[in-house]
Amino acid sequence: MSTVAPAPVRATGSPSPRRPMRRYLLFGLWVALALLALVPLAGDRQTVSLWTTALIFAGVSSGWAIAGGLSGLIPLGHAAFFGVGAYSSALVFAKYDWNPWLGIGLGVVMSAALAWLMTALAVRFKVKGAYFGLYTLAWGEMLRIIASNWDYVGKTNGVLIPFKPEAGVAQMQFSDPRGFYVVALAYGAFSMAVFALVKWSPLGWRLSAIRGDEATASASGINVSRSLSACMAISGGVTSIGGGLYAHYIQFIDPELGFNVSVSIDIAVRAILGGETLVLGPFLGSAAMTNVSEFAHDHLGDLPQMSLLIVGVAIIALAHWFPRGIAGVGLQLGRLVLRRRGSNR
Amino acid sequence: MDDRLVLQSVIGGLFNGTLYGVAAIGLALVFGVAKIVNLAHGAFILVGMYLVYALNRATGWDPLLLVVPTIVGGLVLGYVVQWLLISRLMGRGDGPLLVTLGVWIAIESLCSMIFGSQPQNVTSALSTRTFSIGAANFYWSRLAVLGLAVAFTLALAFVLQRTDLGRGIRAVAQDPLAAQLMGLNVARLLAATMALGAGAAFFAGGLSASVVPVAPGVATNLLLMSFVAAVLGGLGNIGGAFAAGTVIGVIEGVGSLFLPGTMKVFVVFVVFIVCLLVRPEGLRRRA
Repeated sequence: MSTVAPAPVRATGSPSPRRPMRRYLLFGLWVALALLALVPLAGDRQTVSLWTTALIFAGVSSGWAIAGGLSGLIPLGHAAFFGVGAYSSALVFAKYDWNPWLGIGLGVVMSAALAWLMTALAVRFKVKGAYFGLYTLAWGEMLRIIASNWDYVGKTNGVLIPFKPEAGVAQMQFSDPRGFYVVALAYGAFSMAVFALVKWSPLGWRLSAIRGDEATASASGINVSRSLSACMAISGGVTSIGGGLYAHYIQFIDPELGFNVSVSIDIAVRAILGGETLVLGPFLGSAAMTNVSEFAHDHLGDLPQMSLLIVGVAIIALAHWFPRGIAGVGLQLGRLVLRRRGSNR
Repeated sequence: MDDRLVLQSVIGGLFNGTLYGVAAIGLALVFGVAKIVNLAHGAFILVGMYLVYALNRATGWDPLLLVVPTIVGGLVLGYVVQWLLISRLMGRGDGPLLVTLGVWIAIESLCSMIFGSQPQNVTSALSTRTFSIGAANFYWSRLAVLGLAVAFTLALAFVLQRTDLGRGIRAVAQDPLAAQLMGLNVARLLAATMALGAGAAFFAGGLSASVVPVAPGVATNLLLMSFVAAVLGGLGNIGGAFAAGTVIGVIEGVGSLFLPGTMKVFVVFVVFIVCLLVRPEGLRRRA
């Protein structure tokens, strides 16, 4: 049993102009997706709420994938950032009547700082691989314990976010659920854009090199600590925005919804299921997972846990046959189509 | 500070700690040999708990006795998981980690489908009577758990040190390729390792059933504590993991003297992070 280093993420530039077919296909895909994104607006309340949740978590998981997919780290504590974002936007709005967007901004700054600090420490002290996963998990747990014992944040009762209709759209109070859907859509698109920007930036190339072989990357003059910390800070910040949106969407946050280990796992699972190295991966994973759990909720009423069983089996199947996730399957299909066209010519 | 309270917390922590220790040895073994962080370990613990609960309901025997046959279930499940699901993926990046994650999620959902999410209680004959150390009182069941945990750890150490199976497992841990070249069946030995790891998890879960309520959250807590203990003991080091688990229990006990409610666990995670940063290879050098 020899240990094979994971292949570096392909750090190609934007699709090459020499292969116009591929470009058209990609362009068509994005246009189709953009149009599809408008469909839930015409649907009923349940459809809107389903896709709002799916999109918020698509954004959160894209944030995770910036670290988990591009750098080769396996962070298992992203609930820390999710929770910080959720609590800061909730507290700012519920306690001081400030604009929740300000709270989200605050959450992003705190999460990014926390992510930078924990990663810099980890690299400095050579906490790697599996240890890094457990190390981040411990940070998440610490925050959960603090939140459930701190009077200021309501201990285990959490924070209720009152509905203030007079506050209006600028403060994330929507009387029409479709309003929140648009916010979630914007956030999902934003996260994917950040992921793509990082992936195809000099930072992304450095991360790809570190993922391939850290020692070689370091020897070639890459500042490993800086690159990984920056990557985790961006990842934590993006995830934290989603936490803030989610708290306002369900109008409530408590330590278990914000910081529980299962939140960290859920965030990672959505990304991995969809394919954590591909731009669309986390979105596909999140959409699949939200739909499966909704389906189980509707049609298997007496066995709501069935959705988790399906997810568990799906992860095992993916690990065996589709290591690049749902998006990877799509990529392979796309290649197949392109190749067939090529041979016909 | 009240002497009785100190005694009660510290020795109570020690009793909890042996439970963490026995939960940690399975994790440490699997990591040391197969180099897999077994995320399914908590699920194995959970199944062990429910198995004791179900057997106790069916037969009415004392849960502390039922813990021993429970190990067999763990051996079988661990062997099957490694043999069927993981062995093909060994050495292929994150594959094994993902499979253990999938097994964790699947098993946990199966358990809550079968047993619901309400905490269940299992009472041993020994958890009604108490004994005292100084001014502090403890249930006899706690002492029984301590004794069984120590006995199991010693038995596992014996298997690893003195039997052919154990020698094979240690050879694989040192160098799988060399072990293969010497004619050992590495895939089978890895399956046996996972079987022993799951057996330890079932045993830990089964033991905890007689002292705490049976519920998914308890298993998650045991999983976290066994991660901490396994890392502090030097992942792969059985004795170290058990000792670290015991120490964590005591730290938690001391923490509860100064901090309210669940904050005692906070101390454990602070110690964990500090230790990881200072000595990532564990508090003791790998034997």
